[in-house]
Amino acid sequence: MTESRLPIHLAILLGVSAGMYAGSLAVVTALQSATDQSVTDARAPLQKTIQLVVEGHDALDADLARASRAYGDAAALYGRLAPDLSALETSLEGLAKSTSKVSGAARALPGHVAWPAVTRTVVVTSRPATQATTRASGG
Amino acid sequence: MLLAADPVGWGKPEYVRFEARAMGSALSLILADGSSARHDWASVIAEFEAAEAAMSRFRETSEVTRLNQTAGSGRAICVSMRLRRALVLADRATRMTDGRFDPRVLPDLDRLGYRGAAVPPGAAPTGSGPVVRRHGRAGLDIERAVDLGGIGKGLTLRWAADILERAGRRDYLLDAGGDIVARGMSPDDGPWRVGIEDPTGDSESTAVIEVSDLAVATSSTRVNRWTVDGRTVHHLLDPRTREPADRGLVAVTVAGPDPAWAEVWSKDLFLSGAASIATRARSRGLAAWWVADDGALEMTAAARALTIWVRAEEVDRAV
Repeated sequence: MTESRLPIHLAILLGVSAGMYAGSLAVVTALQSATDQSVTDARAPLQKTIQLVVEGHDALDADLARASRAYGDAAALYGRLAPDLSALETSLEGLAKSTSKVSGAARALPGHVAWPAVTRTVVVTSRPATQATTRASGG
Repeated sequence: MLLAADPVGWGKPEYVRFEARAMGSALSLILADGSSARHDWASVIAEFEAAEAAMSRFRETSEVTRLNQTAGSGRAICVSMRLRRALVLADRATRMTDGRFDPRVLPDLDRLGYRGAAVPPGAAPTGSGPVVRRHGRAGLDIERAVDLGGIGKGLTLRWAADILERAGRRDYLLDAGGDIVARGMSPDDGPWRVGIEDPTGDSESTAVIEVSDLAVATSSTRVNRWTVDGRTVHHLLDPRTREPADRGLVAVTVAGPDPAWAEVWSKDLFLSGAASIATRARSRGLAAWWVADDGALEMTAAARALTIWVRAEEVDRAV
């Protein structure tokens, strides 16, 4: 009868190989973990900046909404004023026509006017009658 | 005081004028006639008599003479409400005018020969401490004899006007020797017209003003002038020098709501002198007219608003 036996050196080789593999795997895992952490740390400021940009965008969006409402209000007000402005414009046109007519009349006026001769008189105001006189009382 | 005061006609028949003498000068009252006119005039006369009995330094028996005779003794005495009010007002006026108005010039008037009832010579200079010290409700004492002539007359006018107001009088003119209270309307249905005396003695006024609900008082050297040791002096003493004021002015008139304060400010402005009277009068907002040594009449803007005629301006217009 033939005896089947695993040679001892083969078993030792397998054990050593498995141990080396496990050690290598542990080292690689540790290195990968450290790398991941450094990447995460490096990205943190960038994320904070991105957050600020998002907040600024939100504020700008709110400002734009307010400006839009103000514009809407101003447009509505202008819509209400428009008829008055139109009437004012019409009045200004009328005034311009009147001014033009007055200017024409003013140009027709003489450059100077000769006053008629008058007799020079002087009126002397007399002292008004009084009911009392304030004076040195001697007090 | 002359009590004979028959009414005399004045323009319109509904106004009457009463005349008498009080406080050494003419006293007159113009008011609407009526059943109470004589009674109101009698009340005014009685007020002046009571005030003179309290405040005249020329009466031996007056309260102020008795008070002056105790000046400097430190002894507190009781006086009437009239004299008490006059002393308190004089004390306030002395402080308000920075000592330009000071009733404690009496010993100096006495020294210069303008004498009334005998008073002890004062040792304390004017302006040192209060005019009067109060002791309780009624007692008071003074350090130096006082002359309440001008402010006393102004106060009496105030009290007499109060009597007329309480009697329902709204239109009247009360004139005590040139110190005047004018209320309401004149017989001409306008403001009362008052002439400002020409201090040089000309019979014609130097200006005419219109006043209503105002008092008018004048400080002038035209009266009460006399000669001492060859020099001419007058009764308007400067409390700071204790000598007659000689600062380029001969007369100052002030119009204001109260006759006593008009009297105080006219004296204050007179003692300010020609160089600074305009600034002082305007800073106080006073309606004031003044005549300088050269006879020129000047006035503040407030006074100009009351002036309706100026003799000098009439001459200008006639040229």
